[in-house]
Amino acid sequence: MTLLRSDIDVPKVVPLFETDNPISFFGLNNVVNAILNNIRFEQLLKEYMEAVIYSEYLKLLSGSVIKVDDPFDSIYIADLSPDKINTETIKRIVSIGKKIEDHSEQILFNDGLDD
Amino acid sequence: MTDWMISYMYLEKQDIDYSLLRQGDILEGIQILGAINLGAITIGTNIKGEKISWSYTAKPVFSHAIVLSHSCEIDKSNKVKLTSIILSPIRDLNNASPEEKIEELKRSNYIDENTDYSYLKYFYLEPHELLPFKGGAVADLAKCFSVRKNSYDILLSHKILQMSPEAVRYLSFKTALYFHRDK
Repeated sequence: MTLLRSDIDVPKVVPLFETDNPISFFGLNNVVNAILNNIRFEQLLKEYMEAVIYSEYLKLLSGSVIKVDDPFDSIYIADLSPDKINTETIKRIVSIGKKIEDHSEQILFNDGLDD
Repeated sequence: MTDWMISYMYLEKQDIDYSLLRQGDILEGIQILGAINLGAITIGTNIKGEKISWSYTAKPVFSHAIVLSHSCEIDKSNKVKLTSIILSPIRDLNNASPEEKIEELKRSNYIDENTDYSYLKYFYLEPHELLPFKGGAVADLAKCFSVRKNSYDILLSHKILQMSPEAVRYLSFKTALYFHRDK
């Protein structure tokens, strides 16, 4: 259910609970209506909300608000421009790669890092 | 000097640009995140079962590391493409064997059409007064890992050496060959 406020001076309250809800049996709707119809309460709520908003705004300005830390920032493909890659170098890599053997496994390390 | 030798591997100190990270830069005191055993990580969850934290109890591994990302990609002015920085740990050849293979490995940075075999996983790094590896070292290309771009300044503060453009070409060529397989 939604609480609607179409007129600031004359607050309207939509029932928050169905009448068969046990809580309503004790007149909670009446309590809520009484609070929301109270001009003093409305003023207090307004002041509280303003204080919260100003406080958060000041935190934002001071940099004390923790921003969402995204480890993989957005990459906008349209903003990228291709690197100039020397095609001769690529051909050379492919050509050498076809026949070269890798003997790296013949080297052994004893430094604690797995090989 | 023979054809497999790089004329000079490192820039002189006065020529090193300490304001930028470049491919082939050598960094000291880097935590080797690639050494983490994924199976040893404990994931913390909240009441909804969402993964909100993790912990890992093991001795951290620190080492020298080399920057593998190519220089234009990690150029700070290139804010669009700079997303992460690829590093590779450096390993001391004093801990490696057998000796005769090590000597071959030291000559294996140069590769051309006449090269029948190489040690593609390792890029040899010559000794230098700023490095603790008196017998030389290797960049272990198989143990590369990346860190986020917001680590740039931290990595930069650990930069101690910069490789010459010629050595960087050898490094990138060997790295490409290591990852390329045509069989």
